[in-house]
Amino acid sequence: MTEMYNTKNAGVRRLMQEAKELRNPTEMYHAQPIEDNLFEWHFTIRGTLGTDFEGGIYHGRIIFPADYPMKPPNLILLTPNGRFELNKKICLSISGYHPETWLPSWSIRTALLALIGFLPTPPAGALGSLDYPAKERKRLAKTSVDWKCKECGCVMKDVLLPITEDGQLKETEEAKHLAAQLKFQDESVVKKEVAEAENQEKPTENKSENDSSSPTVSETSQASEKLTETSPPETTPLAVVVEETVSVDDPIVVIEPVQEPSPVGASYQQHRRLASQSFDYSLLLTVPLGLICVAIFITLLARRILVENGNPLNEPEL
Amino acid sequence: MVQESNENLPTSTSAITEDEILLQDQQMKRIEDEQKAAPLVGDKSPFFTLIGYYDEVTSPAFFAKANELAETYSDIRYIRGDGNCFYRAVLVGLVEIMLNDREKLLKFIASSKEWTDRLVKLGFPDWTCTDFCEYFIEFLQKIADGKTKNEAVFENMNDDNTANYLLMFFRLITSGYLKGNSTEYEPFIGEGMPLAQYCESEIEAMWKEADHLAIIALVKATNIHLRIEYMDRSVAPNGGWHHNLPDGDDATFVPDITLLYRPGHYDLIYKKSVDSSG
Repeated sequence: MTEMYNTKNAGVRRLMQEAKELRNPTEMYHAQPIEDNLFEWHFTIRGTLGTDFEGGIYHGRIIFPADYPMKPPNLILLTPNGRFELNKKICLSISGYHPETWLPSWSIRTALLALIGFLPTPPAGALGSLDYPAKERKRLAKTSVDWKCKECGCVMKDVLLPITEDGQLKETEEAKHLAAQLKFQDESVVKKEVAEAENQEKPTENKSENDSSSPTVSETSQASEKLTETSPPETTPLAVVVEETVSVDDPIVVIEPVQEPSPVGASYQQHRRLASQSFDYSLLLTVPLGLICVAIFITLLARRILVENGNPLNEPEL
Repeated sequence: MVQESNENLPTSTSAITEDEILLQDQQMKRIEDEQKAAPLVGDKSPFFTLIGYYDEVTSPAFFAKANELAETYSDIRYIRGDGNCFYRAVLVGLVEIMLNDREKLLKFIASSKEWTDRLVKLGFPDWTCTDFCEYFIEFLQKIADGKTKNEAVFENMNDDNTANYLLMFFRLITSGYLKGNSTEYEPFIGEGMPLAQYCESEIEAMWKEADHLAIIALVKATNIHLRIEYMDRSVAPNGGWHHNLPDGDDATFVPDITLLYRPGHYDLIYKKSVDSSG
């Protein structure tokens, strides 16, 4: 492949170096160029422990703009995951302050860690995001290990290094930290989402990436030790909000079969059933509440009218 | 190579919900194309070309100022207005100096190597930052070794990929200088923003214009004498027509590089040489 590209080109040089850095899979991520194109890679990431994505291994494409690293890479997920739509560009940018900011000194590793950290964060209605219930995400996580990439032929369970809890914890810390800084969305909404950058814009600063060369356990532990010194510990374990993720105004689980090519035909029906379940619950709450409100309102109104009409002037007691 | 025609724009409106977004994208693309119509770094052209940009009647102040400056300056090198113009102007100015002065070139190579170590110590992301530094040092080293001819240097300056990679070095040392002297500079950052965050969002990110703090930092980091001529007096930090960095008396200050500031933009300008007839 080396001969095909002008190695004097700074971007090409950089991509080749990144490919070298990431050659060996780690517990949490792996990414390499596909055979004949340095500007298109495939990546694999692992969902973090203690989230709906625990046990899940997800695959996707990275497409580099011609002027990478001056402009950010585009990530596209291929494995059904319940958090991001499939086959859609997810765009990477820093949250809040200047949402379109990508730093050229970030790398593919930064992007992948941020994506890992970003999986369990609430989608906040962003286009290109999915808000599947926890149960479904967990099911998808379980089935993802047998998912096979049609293009590069790899099966998820074989791609990454076997997990050791210790190693994962370290990198999870870094991923969370990065996710607090970065923002993933469908490419097209980024510009619109400026205002909605919500809570993540708090200044958790200091360099996030301390070392990277070969993420052995000892090295990454150093890195995350530095991190924990500088960044406030993440709270909000998302597992707490399991069954209550029922939104009132939209039936969430609207799944288009196109982007969800699940192998088993039955699973589609399962989605439907889930949809109706959550819908029912929400109705049970909102309808009676609404009725009670209306009833109170009418009662008050009626009383007022009666009071005004019945006791024209001199009856202040009622 | 730089100009992409508008026909390449996606015109399909099949995704109705994304119409607006598409429009926005097209607009951004058009702006980018417009920027790219101008070279990153223009050839040296006579200073009086600047006068042509201003109409005597509609903008008399700028017209007069351009005429006035034309008495002192002979040439101008227009820099593309893409948010990088300050850094790019300094980069080009410095490279020009180094092409003519081998001693300064070798000195700058040495100081660039020092900067590489300093950035690592300051906690910049390990190898990606070093990569920008090494690329820059390699670039200078090739000039020193006579492997890159002068014309090729300016070809590099006009190649998006190479030029921006070199420019990143300048952004990094600007940020590095501020981070290394954070106690001194943090108070100047508004809105209680931490210095590190300011550096990342305003300096280390591409296409972000340099503000006064960045200008001071780059001048100190590169150890140059810089003069900025202002077309518009109101924007000069000291209320004068030009500004010397680091602060210096006009009588004794000899600028290495002079920039012309027009609202929102910097170009590189050259003084008439003493022996020229004017």
